[in-house]
Amino acid sequence: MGEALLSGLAQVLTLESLLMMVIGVALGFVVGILPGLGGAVTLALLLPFTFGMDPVPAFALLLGMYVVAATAGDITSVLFGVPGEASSAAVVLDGYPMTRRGQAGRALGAVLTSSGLGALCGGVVLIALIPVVRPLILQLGPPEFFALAMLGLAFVITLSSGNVLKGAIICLLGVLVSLVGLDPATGAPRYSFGMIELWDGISIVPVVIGLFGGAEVLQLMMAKGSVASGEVQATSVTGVGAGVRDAFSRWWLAIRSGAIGTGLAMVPGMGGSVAQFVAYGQAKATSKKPEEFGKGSVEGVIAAGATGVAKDCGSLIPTVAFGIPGSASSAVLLGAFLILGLDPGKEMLTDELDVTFSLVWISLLATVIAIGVALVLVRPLAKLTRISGPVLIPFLLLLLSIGAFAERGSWADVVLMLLFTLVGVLCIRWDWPRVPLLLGFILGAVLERNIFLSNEIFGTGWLARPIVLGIGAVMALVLAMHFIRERRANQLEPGSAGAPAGVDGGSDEQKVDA
Amino acid sequence: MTVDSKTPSPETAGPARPAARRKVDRAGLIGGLLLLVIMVAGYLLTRGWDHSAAVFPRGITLAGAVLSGLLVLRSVIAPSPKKETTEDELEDDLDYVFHTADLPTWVVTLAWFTGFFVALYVIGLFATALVFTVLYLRSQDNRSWLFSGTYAAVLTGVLVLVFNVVLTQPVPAGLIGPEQRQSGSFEGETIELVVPFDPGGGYDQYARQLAPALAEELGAKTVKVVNEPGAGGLVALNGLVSATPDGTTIQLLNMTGTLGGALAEARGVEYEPEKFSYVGQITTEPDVAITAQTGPIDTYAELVAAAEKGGLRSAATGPGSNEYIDPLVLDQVLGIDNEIVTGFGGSDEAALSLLQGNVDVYSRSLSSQLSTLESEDGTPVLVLGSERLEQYPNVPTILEVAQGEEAKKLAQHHVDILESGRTIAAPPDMDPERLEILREAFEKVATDPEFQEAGAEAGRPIVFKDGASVQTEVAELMNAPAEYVDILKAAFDGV
Repeated sequence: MGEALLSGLAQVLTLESLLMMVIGVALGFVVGILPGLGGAVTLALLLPFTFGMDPVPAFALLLGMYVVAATAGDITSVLFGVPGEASSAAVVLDGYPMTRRGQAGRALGAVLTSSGLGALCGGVVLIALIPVVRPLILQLGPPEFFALAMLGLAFVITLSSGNVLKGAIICLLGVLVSLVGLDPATGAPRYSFGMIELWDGISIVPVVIGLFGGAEVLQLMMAKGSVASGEVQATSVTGVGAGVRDAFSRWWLAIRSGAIGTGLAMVPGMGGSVAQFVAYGQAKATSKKPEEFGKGSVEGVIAAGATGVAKDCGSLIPTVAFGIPGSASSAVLLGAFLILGLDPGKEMLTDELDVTFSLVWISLLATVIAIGVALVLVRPLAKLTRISGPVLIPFLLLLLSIGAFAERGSWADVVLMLLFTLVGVLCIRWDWPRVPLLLGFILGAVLERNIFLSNEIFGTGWLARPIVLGIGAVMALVLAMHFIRERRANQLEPGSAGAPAGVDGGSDEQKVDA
Repeated sequence: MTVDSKTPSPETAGPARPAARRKVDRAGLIGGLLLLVIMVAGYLLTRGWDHSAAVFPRGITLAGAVLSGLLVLRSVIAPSPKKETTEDELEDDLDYVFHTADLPTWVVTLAWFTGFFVALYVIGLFATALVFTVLYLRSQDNRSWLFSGTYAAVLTGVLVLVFNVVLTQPVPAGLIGPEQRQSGSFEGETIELVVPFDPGGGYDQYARQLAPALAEELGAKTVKVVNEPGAGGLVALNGLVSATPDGTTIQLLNMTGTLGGALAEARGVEYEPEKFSYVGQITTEPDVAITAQTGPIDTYAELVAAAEKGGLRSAATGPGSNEYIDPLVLDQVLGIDNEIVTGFGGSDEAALSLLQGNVDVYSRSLSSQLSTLESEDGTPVLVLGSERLEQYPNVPTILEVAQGEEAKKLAQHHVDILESGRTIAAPPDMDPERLEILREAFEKVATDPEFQEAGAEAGRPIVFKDGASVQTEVAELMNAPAEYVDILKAAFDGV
């Protein structure tokens, strides 16, 4: 195995591979800032260029582009609150508030560093799992998907910003939205109001862009100031070093989040968009300062950022081990395997282990290159948040519209994006949490599909499957921890529902007067 | 629409807020009522749905309605501004302007916001980028003409460069544009080759391989691959009916789906396959039914035996998919009793379920099965095609195992439908001269040995058939036996 590891590295460190990787990285930056492009679409565009290439340089181009798109997506999330990839939405939650406080540099430093740490973790997990990956994946059927989705939903409680009832309701709304489209079991259209465009369901891209990006852009249009608020000193703009140190000093959080990213993306059908919120949720659940989450907590940024590349490593696992892709993008990568004459399956884990390892090396190296380049660019990028807001508006509006349009080339998605912008604005205006809505949306269809499949295949016996029970135990732990903390908080602040009442009333009055 | 529903907010914004808050938790009340209405409406909409389609949405909307009701009650009975404000505590310097903005600000902002998207729809992306940027910077930020103009030009230039030159990706085009019918040769024109599925799949890859070669042969400026996924290809198919019939819009068709949907008179079908103008067939492949290598079934005989024992399970992504028809054909034509397990998130989840032993047999196109077969995780047991596979000469075809006159006829029709393959088609009533040019160019490309070799090497073999033959065959295939149509109808209804 050690030999294959080195041989894999040697194949990556050739001139051709490195050159391809640099091209891939450059492209990744361009497409990474557009939400609809980036993953599957750009990979498909690049695929024809790999004809006649050797496998490793070809993957250096494809994977290099792919993993960097995830990192670049985090950058727009932090700077403008517009997620550059659907899987960068959780970075917005704390990254953008940090930027508005004038800490764009620190936030970018933290997110980039944690993305690197997460990638490292993802690579290690991938390598460590190789001996057991096939039997492991064969144990993960519909019951386990269902249990994992439920675990994801459990985090709604911690992510509801202190109002569990509102969180639960809006999460159910998200589930309802996810049911739009053809019913998986009978093929009948549900909630599609006679519109054939809705049969395939609502894509996550317009939802994420509208809910987060659209609302933030409108906010910027109305406020007219610069993104970052005025009173913060120029020194914090250059706080990249601070961000990097933040990430390293919380390395355990980054590693844990990276592992969650890789683990969840390994399951076909769950994917990276869930992983970011589960990682974010566990960071909040275990944080000493959970109340800062959503308002510019560097821990939140680190947890969300760490899943970026880690999840890509995870979705490679079933692709390599079985030829069954874990995401839309890895489906295109599977196409590349076949074009390049590689047969995914057992051989990739035995005879062609070096190629598998070279994939890990490519992911890591491309991430490192991208982070290096990005860190150099952080200072000028952070300055963007200081320039006059109206100058950014045309650019941001274009980003919103192309982002929503590009994935499926569909006007319906632009309309949906606007609709979810409205939802986002309403949520902010009347203090409804947005994250549970998105979680419910991502997990709703997964839940329904897999509870039906589980019953159909196993009867009710699936409830007793060991992994299901294990995930159930973790879920109980998450909930128990949350309530214990809640009680402690109440004991510290007697007579209030988890929030210091006096301060609140005061700040509320102040704000209205001002 | 967006504007209308947003305008009420200013009325409740600003000064009205503190007074209202002390009495009733208005945010909770309004939001709760709104969501209660949505949930109840969601529940009512499930009336008339199949039980299995309705049970989950009903549960969700019921729970949602109950919780929303609770929230409404709580807002009225026990107003709790304390809880309301937990979020504001740290947000003091980050307050959203939505809380405080006055009416004029809302109106002006929403006007610009709406204006942008209306412009996008009417004049397209590039023109909007140019015009909106100049106007917005001039009026909202008092920038000079020089600054606004330069900025707009640079922004538009970058957009054109990225989307038209580097990525060649479609961007929102406006209503106003050169919409004229072309004639004569394709010299210098832009042709859109529509792929009715997501980028990266098998169809997409065929299209992307074909596009540059076809452009060169026609002397066209470019053949642009445009992905228009939706409703299993229906969105694009219905779109082809009304496209300008001059050959500047052509489409790669999944004939099995196209014919199957039309024969079954499936929901949403607005096309008639025999009316399309076929340019030619680019490939065809059989379906293959496979079992898990680790499972007990390794041959067709064992499959039959397992079915007789009872409890045989097959997998399919969903009703109406190609994959759903095969197990029904196994059942009704070959008498292989099987229960279809459906509702997987995609064919990959279904394939994984096969390997996990959750289902016993899974049938889909050869190229999709290839990675499972070549990694020896799957064993082929039956070819749903006219000939045995070169790599697996011991696996029988459906035509060989079908028993009796009637069964053979149905099997043959199913094979013909499956092997109608993937074709390139133009809209109905094509200009005959232009169609002929397209057909000739396509034939030259598809029969070029170099092109064929490249396809074979990439695992996407080219099997050419000329457009005129395809046209005749489609007409024949639409004349299907009633029993076969019944099977298709069952497949689309998810029975």
